[in-house]
Amino acid sequence: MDAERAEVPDDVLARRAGLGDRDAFALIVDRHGPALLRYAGNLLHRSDQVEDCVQDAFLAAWRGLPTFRGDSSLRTWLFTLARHAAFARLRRWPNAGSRPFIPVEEVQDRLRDLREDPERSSVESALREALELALQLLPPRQRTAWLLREVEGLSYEEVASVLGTTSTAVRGLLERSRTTLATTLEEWR
Amino acid sequence: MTTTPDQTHGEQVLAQATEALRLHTPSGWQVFRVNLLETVRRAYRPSAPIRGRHEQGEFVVSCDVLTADVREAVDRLPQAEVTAVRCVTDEDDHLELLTVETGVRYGAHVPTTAEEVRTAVVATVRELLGEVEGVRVHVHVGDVFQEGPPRTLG
Repeated sequence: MDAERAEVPDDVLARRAGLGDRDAFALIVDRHGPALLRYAGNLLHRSDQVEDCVQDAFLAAWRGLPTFRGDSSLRTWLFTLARHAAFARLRRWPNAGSRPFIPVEEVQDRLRDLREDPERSSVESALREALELALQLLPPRQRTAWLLREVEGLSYEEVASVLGTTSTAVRGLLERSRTTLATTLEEWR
Repeated sequence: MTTTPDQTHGEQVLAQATEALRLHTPSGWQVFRVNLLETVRRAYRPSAPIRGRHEQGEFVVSCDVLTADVREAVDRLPQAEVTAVRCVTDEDDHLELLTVETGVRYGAHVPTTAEEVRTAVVATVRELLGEVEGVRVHVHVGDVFQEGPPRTLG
């Protein structure tokens, strides 16, 4: 049964959920929820805000599925809902907008602490934590573009759809974000 | 993002860290998932009202409820699946027209399958709304599918 469930395409799940099938919606949540939580977690950081954001996105999806026409893929649409929910929260914060949330020096200090921490559980988790720290240096749109492209594997066109911009603009956002992240992680050993 | 020999050290670290982030399932997901599904279960989905009738008078259900019941009824038929349901009501919220768009399994006899769908839908309308009069049920066969999705996803 699990294999069969895994094979049901997103468009079929979206249609069935739109017709009131809550099992289909639960499958959508299982399939896309962790990615949305990962995206929101790297954008908002406060756990209560992160979960509220993802919950808002899925509630909007549940209400919107009866009229979802499939102009974009279900995944792109869900990320768009999550992006709107996250950016709405960012606008409420005093230091939101196009600037990063914390100074470069603070990130560098925390990266140094993390690198020298003898208690760190594994190389992979330390690397991930280092990246999560470095991501805080990116403004929200750059961070969104980078996360959706490099972590979630969306195409340039899909990222552009989520951000409401063009593929060319997305390439620019990605170029700047890669440079910032690679430079920040240059001293990591 | 993969590592290559011509990358700077920072780019190589970034590639490895990206892979680690990609494989990471956020902590607390399982608990959050349960709460999320419960919240959605209680969530109101805006939908047009439809008037039903029983011995003691009239009552109102939402079109969303009727849609879900129609889908479940047609799901029991092996040769058909619902792709869309549309309700048309009069100014007093009495159901006038119920259009059920369906796909039929490849090889199935379309008129027979459509009639089975119609019978199931009419029974569902009676079950949910009572003995309402003047309801037209249209079955529109708009798709043919080779192998349907699992009938029950739960």
